Amino acid sequence: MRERESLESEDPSTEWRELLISLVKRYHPGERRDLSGATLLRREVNRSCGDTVTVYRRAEESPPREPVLLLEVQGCAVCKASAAIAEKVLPLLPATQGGELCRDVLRCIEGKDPGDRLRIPSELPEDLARDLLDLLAVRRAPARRRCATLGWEAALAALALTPPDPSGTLPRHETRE
Amino acid sequence: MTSSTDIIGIRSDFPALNGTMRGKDLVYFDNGATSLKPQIVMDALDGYYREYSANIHRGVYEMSERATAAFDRARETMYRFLGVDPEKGEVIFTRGTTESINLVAYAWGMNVLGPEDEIVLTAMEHHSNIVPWQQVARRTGASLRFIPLTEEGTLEEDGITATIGPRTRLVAITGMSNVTGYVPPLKTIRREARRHGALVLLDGAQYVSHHPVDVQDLDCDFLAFSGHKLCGPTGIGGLYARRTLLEQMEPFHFGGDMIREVHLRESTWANVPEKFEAGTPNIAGAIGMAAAAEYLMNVGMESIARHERELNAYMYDALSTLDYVTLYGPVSDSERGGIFSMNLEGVHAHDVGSLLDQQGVAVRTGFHCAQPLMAHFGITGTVRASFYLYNTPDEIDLFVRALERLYGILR
Repeated sequence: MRERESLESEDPSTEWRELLISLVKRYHPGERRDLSGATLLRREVNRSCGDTVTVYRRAEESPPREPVLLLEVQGCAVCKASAAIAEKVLPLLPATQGGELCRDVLRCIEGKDPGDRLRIPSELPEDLARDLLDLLAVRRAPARRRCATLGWEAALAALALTPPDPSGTLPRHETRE
Repeated sequence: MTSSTDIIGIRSDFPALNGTMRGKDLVYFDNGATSLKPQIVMDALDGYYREYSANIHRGVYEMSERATAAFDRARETMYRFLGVDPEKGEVIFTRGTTESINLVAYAWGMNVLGPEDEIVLTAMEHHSNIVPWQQVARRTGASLRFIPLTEEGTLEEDGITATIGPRTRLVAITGMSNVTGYVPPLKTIRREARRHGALVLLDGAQYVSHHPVDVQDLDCDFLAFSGHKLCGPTGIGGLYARRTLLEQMEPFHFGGDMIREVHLRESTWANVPEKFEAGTPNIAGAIGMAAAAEYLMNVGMESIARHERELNAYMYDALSTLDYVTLYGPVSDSERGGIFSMNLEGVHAHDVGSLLDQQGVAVRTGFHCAQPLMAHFGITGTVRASFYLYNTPDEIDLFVRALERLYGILR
């Protein structure tokens, strides 16, 4: 992983709520997806508000389409944006690296050290990397950190349950708008 | 409405209202969670810690005697605040409403109830008035029954009379919902409970700080309340109970100060209230809570209740103009205390709360420790605005403008 040192989102003057609104606009929840045949892997609950993230592995189809993790959210805008970013990012990485990224995101959001830097995998396109870094602004709102970590915790737990495919790579899934 | 001069005077008693939040004048609408504290309460706490912070009872020196006298006066103040006749009832100091309900659950419920008995609750209860009874039911074999809620989260007489029956031993119910502000028909509930020989526990966490209370008139057997919701410090509250019940009940906690005599293999208990107050109590908390109760009595609980009713009507009219706002709870003003729970169409409560914070408005968001009520409404959470004596119509105007602004941003 390479580390990005110069980050606009690390500027303490950045208003995290503006980033939140920006993420909400970009990751506005779309139509409900068809989960028929999907396997439920993990459900995480935010006990302070009851929001949930449920991770499914999509059913294999004929002709075979490789399984992919789907993160279904019943929650706030931060939770939805965070889970949507995880859902887009993780298929681009080998499973072990995906797990490392989950742990790294959790460390950066929950960590007490504001100087914590997220190690962005070089495989990520610029726009996704930027959104991921923007998400870290939630560190400035302690009461909302859990909203942002819920999806990554669920994904991390689900990855542990997902047998790696022979290539060691989680399959890429089509872009969802 | 309480005159603006009165309100200005009241607001100047609360230092926190001179502060800002996110650089804006603070609009504090989270009184359902805890109230702000007047200077007089802080002075009482400071006075104890600064001048006479000795332990109470058995200290044969002046400072301890002073602390004991202040602690005893605090209890007497709470008698006056709640209309307690010490010959008939008693106030036990606890950490707050949750501990008070647990005290009844453990010291009464666990010892008295059995498999043939029923505990009647509602789905609008705060978790602290559900979870202890679930434990009592699990351990004693007693059953839980729930008075059905209407669609708007209120109770009807038919539901009350159908649920409270000959097997009911206890009706444990909120005096005012912490989610909707709904004040249930306590007289009807009490009448039905009495008809079947059941006791009534009133969760007064919200009710006691917003209404004039006279336990003789309320005619409940137990009343649980918290100091911090009535302008007092955190970590202190109380349980009013009929003296005869307290004398029959076993202690809840065991240790120093609650005993009469201790021998190696057995002990005997002190009289009430000490029997239920093991260990060094929250002396400063009790003194601070009493200072708060005295302050509220000086303002006048009836005046506070009237002021909140007027704020309610103002708020209701203001919110009614916003077609994207869903309000939960009773439509009737007469059934609602100063609490409004709402959702904005398509916007999560947390996101509303965060953007209100940005505009200096403090509200609570989430399920408010009332998940069964959320399930009843088919939602996971709400935005809750709750008033107290120092809130004003101008603040409601600001709140509504803030809602309009943020809805425009998020939708």
